[in-house]
Amino acid sequence: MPGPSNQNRIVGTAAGRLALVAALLGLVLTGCRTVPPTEQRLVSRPVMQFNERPAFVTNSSLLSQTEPGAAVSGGGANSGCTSCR
Amino acid sequence: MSRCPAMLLSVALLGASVPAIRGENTVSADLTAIRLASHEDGRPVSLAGFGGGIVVLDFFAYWCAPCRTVSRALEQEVRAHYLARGGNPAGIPVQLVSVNIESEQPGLTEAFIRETGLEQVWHDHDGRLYSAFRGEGLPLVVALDLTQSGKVTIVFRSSGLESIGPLRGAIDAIGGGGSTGSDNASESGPVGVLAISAVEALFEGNFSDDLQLTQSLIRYRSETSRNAWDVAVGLASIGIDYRPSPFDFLGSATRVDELRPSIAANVRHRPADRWTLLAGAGYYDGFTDYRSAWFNEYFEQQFNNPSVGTVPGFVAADPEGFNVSGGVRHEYLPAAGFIEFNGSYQRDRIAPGYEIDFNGLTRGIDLLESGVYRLTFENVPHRRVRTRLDLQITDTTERNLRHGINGAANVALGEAWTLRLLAGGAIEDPEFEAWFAGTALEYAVSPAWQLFASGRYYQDTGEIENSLSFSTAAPGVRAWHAGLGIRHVAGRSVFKLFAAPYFTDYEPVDLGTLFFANLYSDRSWVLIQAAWQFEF
Repeated sequence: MPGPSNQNRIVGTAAGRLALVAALLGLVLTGCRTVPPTEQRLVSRPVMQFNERPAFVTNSSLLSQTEPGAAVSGGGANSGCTSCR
Repeated sequence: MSRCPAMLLSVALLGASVPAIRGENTVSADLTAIRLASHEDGRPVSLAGFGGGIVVLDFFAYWCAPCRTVSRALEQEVRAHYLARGGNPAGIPVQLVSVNIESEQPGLTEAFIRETGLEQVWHDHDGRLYSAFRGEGLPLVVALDLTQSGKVTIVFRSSGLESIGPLRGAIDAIGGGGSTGSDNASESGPVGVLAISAVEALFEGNFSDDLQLTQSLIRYRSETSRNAWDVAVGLASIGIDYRPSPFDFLGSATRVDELRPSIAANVRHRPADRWTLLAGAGYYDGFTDYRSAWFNEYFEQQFNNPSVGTVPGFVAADPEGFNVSGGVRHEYLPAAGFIEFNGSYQRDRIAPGYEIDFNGLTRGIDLLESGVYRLTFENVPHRRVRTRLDLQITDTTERNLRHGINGAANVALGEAWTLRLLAGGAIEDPEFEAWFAGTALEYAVSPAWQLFASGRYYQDTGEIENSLSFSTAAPGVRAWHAGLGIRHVAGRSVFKLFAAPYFTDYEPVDLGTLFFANLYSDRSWVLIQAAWQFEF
């Protein structure tokens, strides 16, 4: 059994890893470029969007019962086609 | 325009909203020099041909769902309306031109034109005219006053269109005519809000030898350019063939069946072009997961057993909960990227744990309050890629903060192929760590039929021990599934079916959780999903 100080070191390492992953993902996923609506044909397909429409998403709400660490989504309204008003 | 991630948050916080142009706005007469192609015969066309009149431009693309509603409404409520009256109140002729900005898939554009009944269509394949009006989304509706020689005046411009009324008001005011454009004052009938409404239904099941879990949901949603709302009612079921541990001398095998009805609603309002306000609320009544129902049965058999009576201090569980949420979204890249902050408060009355010693029965905490704070980035960094990043912090009663991250990327590999990637994780002191990764590959056999394969892997280190010496916390688990699905699109209706084998593999229970060896046993499941939606 690790003592409290060892536990803190383990947690600190995990938090550091998560922060690093978050920073890297942020750089990769948020991007630097605007793609105008005239070029958004492919990304506007329903299967390309992040929303909670069950006919198009592949995630399952039941899995949160067996995968408690994956319950990230939920809450308020979600996104739709970014170029569609 | 280029904005890198380091700038994004500050841009979002400071605000860079560009309001829609309302009222008069004179633009360069060079606008009339832009030559487009007529859909009818391919001949060159330009706005110069409408000198002395009023022109309404309806920019659309076949893949833009709101465009379908707006284009159809403009044909009926603008073209037909002013044609029947010989122009606006001042007698100035009004023309409607539908401008297609998409050059690919001409067959689908043709179908859009046919289904919406567009009379006059121009092609702006390189987006020159669209860009001249600083288009930031679709549909883009612009009304031009060309009555003065050599001068083009924008009298109305809107990304998206909430209703026809304001557009008619702007048209009717040209030439000194009175406004008849109020939303419900049309002589041809009410000019209502342009809404897309849909009904969605979902059934999910996850079945093993001793556990049967289902979730059913029906949702109604309505969206306009500036407002959206949805309400969903659900019913979840939990079926357990309960088997006590061999060491549980008070326990007996039995059947447990529980239901959990729920209701949830969300609203969305866009007060300015790049800002959206979000709010939501939900309520449920029942056990949120099968483990809670299993524990409840265990404690019932221990402390509320007919053979030994009810132990003083035992109270039957009645779990329920509600949540409220609010948030704000800002489009830091027009039509291509947004940042969203969402905060929610959740209050859950749970089935508590119990501990018994020489002092009697101690009931564990039964009321949890949680604050969930989430920051989301969504972006279109490339014309084939859409990405999303969620950062979440959850603060729950008597628990340390849980930090979560979820990143996803959807990639259009081609006209028929789509790849979805997903990865994420969570950590919580003192020792909980979880991560997961998944992918889905979709292939459109035809516009009506799509096939997809989907899989996911999940792993965690086991749940946090509760405050009682007797632990119900789950040991570490690995879970994975891979399955096949099919989707059928028939007009306004979409149907989806998905099935996958699913496996959960727990680490061995220790002495603290020995009484739950049957709960935390490895299982093989069958996961199925059926979903349907219909757009009105």
